[in-house]
Amino acid sequence: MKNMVNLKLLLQWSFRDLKQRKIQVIAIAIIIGLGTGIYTGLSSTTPWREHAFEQSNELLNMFDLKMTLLPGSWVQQTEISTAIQNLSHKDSISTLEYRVSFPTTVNASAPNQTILVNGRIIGVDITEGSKNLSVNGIDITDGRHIKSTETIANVCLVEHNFASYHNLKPSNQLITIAGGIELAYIGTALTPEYFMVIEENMVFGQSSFAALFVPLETAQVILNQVIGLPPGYVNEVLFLLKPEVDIEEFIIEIEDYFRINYPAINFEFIEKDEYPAYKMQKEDIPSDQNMYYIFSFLILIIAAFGAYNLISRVVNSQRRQIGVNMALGVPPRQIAYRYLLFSLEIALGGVVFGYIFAIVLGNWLGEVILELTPYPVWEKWLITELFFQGTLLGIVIPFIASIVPIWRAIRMQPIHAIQTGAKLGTGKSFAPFLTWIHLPGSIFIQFPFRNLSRNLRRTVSTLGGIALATCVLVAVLGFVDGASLLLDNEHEIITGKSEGRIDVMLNNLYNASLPPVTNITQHSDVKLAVQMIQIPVTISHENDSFDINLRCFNLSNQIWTPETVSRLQPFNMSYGIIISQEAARDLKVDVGDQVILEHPFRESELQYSKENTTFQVIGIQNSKVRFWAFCDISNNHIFNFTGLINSVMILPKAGVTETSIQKNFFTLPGYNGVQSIIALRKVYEELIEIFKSIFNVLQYVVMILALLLVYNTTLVNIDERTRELATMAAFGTPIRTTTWILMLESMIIGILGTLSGFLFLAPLVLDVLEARVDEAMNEVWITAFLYPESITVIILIGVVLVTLTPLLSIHKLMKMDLPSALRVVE
Amino acid sequence: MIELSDIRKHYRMGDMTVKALDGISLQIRQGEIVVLLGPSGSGKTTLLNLVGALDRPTEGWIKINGTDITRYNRRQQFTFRRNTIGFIFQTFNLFPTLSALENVQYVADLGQLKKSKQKSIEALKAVGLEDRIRHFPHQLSGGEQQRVAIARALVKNAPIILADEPTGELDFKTGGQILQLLLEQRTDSTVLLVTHNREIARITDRVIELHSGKVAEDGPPKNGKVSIDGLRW
Repeated sequence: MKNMVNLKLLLQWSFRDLKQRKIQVIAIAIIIGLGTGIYTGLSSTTPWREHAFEQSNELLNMFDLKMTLLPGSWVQQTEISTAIQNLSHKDSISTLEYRVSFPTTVNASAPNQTILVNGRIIGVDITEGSKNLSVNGIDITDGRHIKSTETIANVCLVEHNFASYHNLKPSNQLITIAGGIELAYIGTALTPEYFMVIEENMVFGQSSFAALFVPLETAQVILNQVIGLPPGYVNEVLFLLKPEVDIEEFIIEIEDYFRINYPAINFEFIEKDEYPAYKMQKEDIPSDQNMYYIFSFLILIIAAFGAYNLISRVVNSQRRQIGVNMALGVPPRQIAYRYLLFSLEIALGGVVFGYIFAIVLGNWLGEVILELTPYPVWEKWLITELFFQGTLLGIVIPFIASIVPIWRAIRMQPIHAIQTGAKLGTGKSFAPFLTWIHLPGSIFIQFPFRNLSRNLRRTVSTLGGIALATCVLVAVLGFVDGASLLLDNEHEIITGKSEGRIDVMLNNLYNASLPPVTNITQHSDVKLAVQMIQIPVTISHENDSFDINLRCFNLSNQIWTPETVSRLQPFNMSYGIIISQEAARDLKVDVGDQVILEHPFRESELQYSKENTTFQVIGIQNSKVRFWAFCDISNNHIFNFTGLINSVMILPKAGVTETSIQKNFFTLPGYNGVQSIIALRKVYEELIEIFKSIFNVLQYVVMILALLLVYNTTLVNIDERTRELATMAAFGTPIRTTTWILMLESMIIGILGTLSGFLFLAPLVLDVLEARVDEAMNEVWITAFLYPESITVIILIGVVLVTLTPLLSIHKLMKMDLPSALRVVE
Repeated sequence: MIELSDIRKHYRMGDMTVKALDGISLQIRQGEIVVLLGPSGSGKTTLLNLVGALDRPTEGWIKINGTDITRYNRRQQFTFRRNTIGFIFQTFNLFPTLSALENVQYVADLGQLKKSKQKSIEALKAVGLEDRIRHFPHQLSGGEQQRVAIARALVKNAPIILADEPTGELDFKTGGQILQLLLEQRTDSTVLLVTHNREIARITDRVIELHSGKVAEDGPPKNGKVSIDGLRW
């Protein structure tokens, strides 16, 4: 190229610039590395999760369609089998499995721990052993499969998440279920429907819900013992359909066929994509990726601010050199190359660090995800495309950050650039204006303010970085705290004035005035008891609908009744439904509006149908969880449950704990576990655990970023003011005073940055995040909130840590060569 | 009294040892005005830095009023400079974000002078800048900036003033005015003035000429002492 200084010289020159500021360069490389690493590392987990999710479901043949009889309904396997054989669409079925599935209570206590939880017995066809289930296969993670010879053996496989949480091993342990039936724990089962533990229409998590897989015949024997159901009944069919099958068409045919030929059999379908655990895993992946994008974006901007500070300082410190170059006739473009090369060298450092960080972060997060959603297929590989994007970002950020300072430098007139001493215009900008402001205190108080105003661009970019760091912290802590606040509030809302309230569930509908109900209501542990019906329903209004758990009991009982934030006047408790604030928000209804409930209707002892009933919303409970709804038990005729109940709300006597209730009730006929408020809290904590893990990492990354950003700015400031600092030292200013001035500068930046982040940026980011969280966790209404502890953390990082950062540069002040520094001319 | 005994200052530069000062012994009385003369690289500024406790000699000792300052630790060096030394630099070294008054007051406050603001204004008046006290360095000419620097060096009545090429950045006329101001306003301070200008050296009774880190001459100016007005600018 014409007039071109050779590339080797330019490279050497820019490398020397780099060496001269190696600490700052390393700091910026780390900042850029953290930014690109967060993006690449977090995003790497997305394809891993997608792959694991798809392959694991495929490996274990997750059902395409699940046909479930309404709760309490049963049908002879031969009857339903014949019906399916007669379907004209039977060729659409690739394979199917008949199952028995019913709730139970599980005692998995070991000598050193008491484990009494709710659970589910799932009877599976083991004609070819549990290893060869054709739909919803089982992967054994510990122990062994059920053999084909164990047809009616009392053996069980315990669901992996539950076993793992409680560290249970299949070593001669007996599991006891409701009715006192003992099952030998022979293996730990990982299965697609429980990759993530979300029990339909119930609020249980991996710690509090035990799914037990037993031979189909064993399940039928248990049913016979517990509720007297004759042998041969099933209540679930899982279908694996052939590719290209129109599922909707298939469902319609089954529905029509059964309506005509078996009108007494009422069932519901759930497609794979609508199955809660499957749906949540599937939706979580892109939803989490959106979160990663938002946080990566914010952190990358912080990195850009840091890079801008350093590069503009490097360019500014060499204005005389630039002027000399111009005077020598070097074209501006060529001058720019040197600084662009410098940016590129920083970028390469950032990219290398970003790779390391991304690999470490990705692997760690991968392990966390695998622990929370253990897939039988889990592969990690380097996502080349992402690393390419990360590399590009790592290069683009310092490049963009360098454009403005380089452009300003090469636009300078050579005559101005080479001026020194008296003619050098340092200290211009806004410093003079600050003389108008009378700040209390000595010159030492004025100094930091003047210094901050001398290079307003750098001050603003540092301040912007701190503001963004604060914003990320507010967002991260805001949602963790928001979730905790939700749990705290729900705890208070649901417990109300009766902290010890426990809902005892029964395994069937029973006459409210006879045993087994009276065995519970009149038990010596029970102080007060209220009869209750718990029933899963679908609530809808116009185009919005979702599943809720309706609880019907005497709304003017002595134990507990939902508190409302608004209610219909005059309030008639025996009419209508009370829904939560979140449900009202999602349905877009208010008190007085009509909603439709799709609910079970009891046709006979073993048969239920579905009906729609219009209810008026008579109250809105102050709950942010949409799952719960309440109505007075006098509405029980709507379900044809008159005189029957399936649960009891109890208030134990003083000193009686939930565990002792579980133990003492365990052998009572009809007892099917308890549901406590503490368990509810635990479930939600489990659900947000992955968020919390990521947020914790982000919190530390932000802390390091803020520290590096300010450290770098301090070093840049010291570098820029070398001569001034030396002059101060020459006149005997102690290093502690100089450090104090630098700390005061940092504190001002910290306070202003934190406030800006808090007041201006955080509300914008929170708006976006709230919408995302709303999408990802639509059954709860989480709004950002900060507990005093989190505000303290934000202030500690944004102000205190930032204020203390100049202490890290004391060594630079101590090591300053005063005679040389006094003669520094830029 | 400033006493220097066999002062050596050596620097390592790669494989070479540069002898910036090579066995200098001197005595300077209180209130004396001494010009350190010599070509570039002769060790003038190094000597000034050692007397100002900005640096330590490789060998030898420096006593100020009987105390060996080369044995001072870092904290004692800072205290010594704060209480004893007033610096004037060739490139002024004013704090760009402080006004003229604040630049002077900074040093006055550092020395914990009572009525520091009043004394700073008086110091600036003494150098003829009473109407420029609110101005910032970039709003002042080179001569004005150096006057601020002189006011700053003198405000605390430092016993020793160390001036390193104080006229180096100025034209001759302004430089003369600056020197005049310095000598008029110094009261009883000892002044060590570094210059490479022989003409300027004539304003004092004693000129110490350095060559290659050694004292080549020590005595009155060769061409005789003149008043500042008599200098041939």
